[in-house]
Amino acid sequence: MRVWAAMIMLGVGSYSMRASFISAIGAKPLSETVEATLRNVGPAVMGALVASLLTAGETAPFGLAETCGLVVTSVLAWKTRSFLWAFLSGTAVWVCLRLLG
Amino acid sequence: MPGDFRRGALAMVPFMLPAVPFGILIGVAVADHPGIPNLAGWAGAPIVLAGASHLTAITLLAEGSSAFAAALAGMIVNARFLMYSAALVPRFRCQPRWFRVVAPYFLVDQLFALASTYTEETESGFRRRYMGGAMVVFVLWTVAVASGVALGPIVPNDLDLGFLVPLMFTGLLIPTLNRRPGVVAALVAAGITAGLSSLPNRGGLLIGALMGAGAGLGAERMVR
Repeated sequence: MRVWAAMIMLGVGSYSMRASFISAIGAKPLSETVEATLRNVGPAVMGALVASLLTAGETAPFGLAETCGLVVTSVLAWKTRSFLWAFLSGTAVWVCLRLLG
Repeated sequence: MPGDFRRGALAMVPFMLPAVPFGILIGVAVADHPGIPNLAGWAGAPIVLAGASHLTAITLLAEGSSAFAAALAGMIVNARFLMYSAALVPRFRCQPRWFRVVAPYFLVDQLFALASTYTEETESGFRRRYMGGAMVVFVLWTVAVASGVALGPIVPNDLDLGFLVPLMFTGLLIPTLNRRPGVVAALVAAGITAGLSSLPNRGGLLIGALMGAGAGLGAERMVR
């Protein structure tokens, strides 16, 4: 039941956010401060989420393989601006290092 | 134009390439956690249509948090949808009311990116292109998560595949950081969240995200 309740609440809340401005009739333009904040919400949330997944909760040991995988993905993502290469390379490095022990 | 629906659908397909494995991963996570019933865990796929928040909620629920705490954390992760909604107002201003109520349900990251480019459309053309993409997202996503749930018991646990999720988010996030305020927002948020990792219910996520957004806003002001 807990899971159903969470999913439904999250679904309703997410829809509300998605529909917030679109459904409102005659929505007035946003102030510059609100717009500037909204622009930065995306990167902030993703950064927080990555950090949370890596450091909080029941996390698996975070060792050399993980660090190398992250570095490879980050550098490639920054340089190539391509998700696919960055992710696949980082995954490959991580898998190899994990399998090598 | 006839064929608008199909064009919208086809345009969405390449965007789903990273999404399908992610959906499968979520399904596997649902299947792997004994405390999460498979149907309820999967139900988040059609109900929420947002993998990052779905996974965050599942993770928290598996760690024993309340439904409310899990949903709240998911909402924080989805806060970017407010931005999407605001940014798409020009596209939707001339649309009929029923569409403005139905369409946002499917407003995922990829559809936001595509819909933002649909500038020269007739009203009905935009609707059809949008819904073409929306249907592809809805079907592929729910099927992907279901596949993960079905495959879950077979996937070996030796490699802790959970690491692939933050790795994937890193790969998705970094290419979007074109402006310094965004970089500041992400780094501040990550640093604070990591520092607050011992807070229960991943409370550091909320605080880190808020402070990161604030830091990004500050960086924007300083650039001026």
